Amino acid sequence: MSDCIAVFATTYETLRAEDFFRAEKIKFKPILKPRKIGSACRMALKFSEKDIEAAKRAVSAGNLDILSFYRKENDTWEKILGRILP
Amino acid sequence: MIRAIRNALEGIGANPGRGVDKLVYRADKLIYSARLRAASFFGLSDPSRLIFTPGCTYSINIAIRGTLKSGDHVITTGRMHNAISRTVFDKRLGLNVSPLMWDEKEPITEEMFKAHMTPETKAVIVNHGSNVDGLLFPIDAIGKITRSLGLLLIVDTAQTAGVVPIDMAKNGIDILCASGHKGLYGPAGIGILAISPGVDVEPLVTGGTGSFSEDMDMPTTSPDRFEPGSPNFAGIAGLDAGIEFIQNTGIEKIFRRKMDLCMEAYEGIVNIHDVKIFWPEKEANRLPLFSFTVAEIDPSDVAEHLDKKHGIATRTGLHCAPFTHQEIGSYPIGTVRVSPGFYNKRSDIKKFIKAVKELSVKKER
Repeated sequence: MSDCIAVFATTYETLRAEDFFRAEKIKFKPILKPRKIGSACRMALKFSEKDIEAAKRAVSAGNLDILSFYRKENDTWEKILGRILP
Repeated sequence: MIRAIRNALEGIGANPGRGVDKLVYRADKLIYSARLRAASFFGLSDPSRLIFTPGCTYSINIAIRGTLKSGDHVITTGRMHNAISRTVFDKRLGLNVSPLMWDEKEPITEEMFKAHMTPETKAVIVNHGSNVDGLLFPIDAIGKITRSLGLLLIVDTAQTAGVVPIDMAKNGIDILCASGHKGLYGPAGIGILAISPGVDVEPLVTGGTGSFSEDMDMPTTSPDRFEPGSPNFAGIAGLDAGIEFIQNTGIEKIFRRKMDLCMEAYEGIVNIHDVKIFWPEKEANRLPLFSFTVAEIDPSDVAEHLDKKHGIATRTGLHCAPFTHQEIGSYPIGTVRVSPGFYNKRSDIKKFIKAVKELSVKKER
């Protein structure tokens, strides 16, 4: 299983997402968003690929403003779901 | 509040929203929790639209300059603080302004607002409570009127936040501006701008947010859109502790205590010869503060007597509210304002009454 990360629009939204990830019993870790994804110096949530469906449910349940999910492929981060809210 | 600030500075001391080391994460969580608490306290359904600012004046500036444009017409009250009046009368902004005079003995009606309206009227801007005579505006009634008329309602709650219950959704408030260091028991240098869902506000200040850094426009997402630069997280910690204190103590209990002390001060000096008191007639329209004068004695001399001889701190002059003094008839000399706090004692009030009596006797000699 690869690592995945979820990147949200703001720190506020990321912290809000933590509650919904916990509700879905997803094990996650707040990390600094990898530089290869973008320039912003802020937080993302890292979790296992096995929880991707639960993570999608968390986003939906919280109406979370997610920018994207990424999955680690070798040494790169592949975008697996773009922003789903305006 | 002081402990919360000390803990934030000593225990965290990091810049929120930049990086994700342990200290930054704690700072982020601190601000997140404070935002949720403050939003809930003011009945704001989306906490991301609760913005921390350097103070109520900044909040008012963002609210007015971020929603109105040259040629727009606004209705204000006659009890404006300069935070509002100097902004709405700023020639660079180019607004047309109609202050609505209200006799507090009469109910406030839709017709009063309609009488001032023009096709360009966009907003009603209200001082919820006067910082001079403590007149409390019926915000619930005004909210119903502005909703009915389709006008934006901007409310300055500098004197009422934490003093009387405020619920943005129930009261029909579109934008609420609050000061942290008065009724909310926070430190100076922190304020709140709360924007109801669906209300568009342009940011006044631009800069780094730690998000969307490659984009030269400010982020469209709140709170980042309105909070560039390093936040005053110690001030936010103090404000959060202040609001928690109000929640734990009870806003009604705090109000009752301050009002009881205020009534005692009022009753103690109201019959003193040459003392004139400025306070609304109707109890329902009163905040726990009032103004007074003693004959023709300069209010500054009254304040000096209270301070130097009795250690009583008051605020004198025009209180940054010249329109209010014009309306109540105390312009241009101003008044002395008394505003008992929750931690004042009845002995403080007795001392105050004695001090004012001394002034009256002095004047008669």
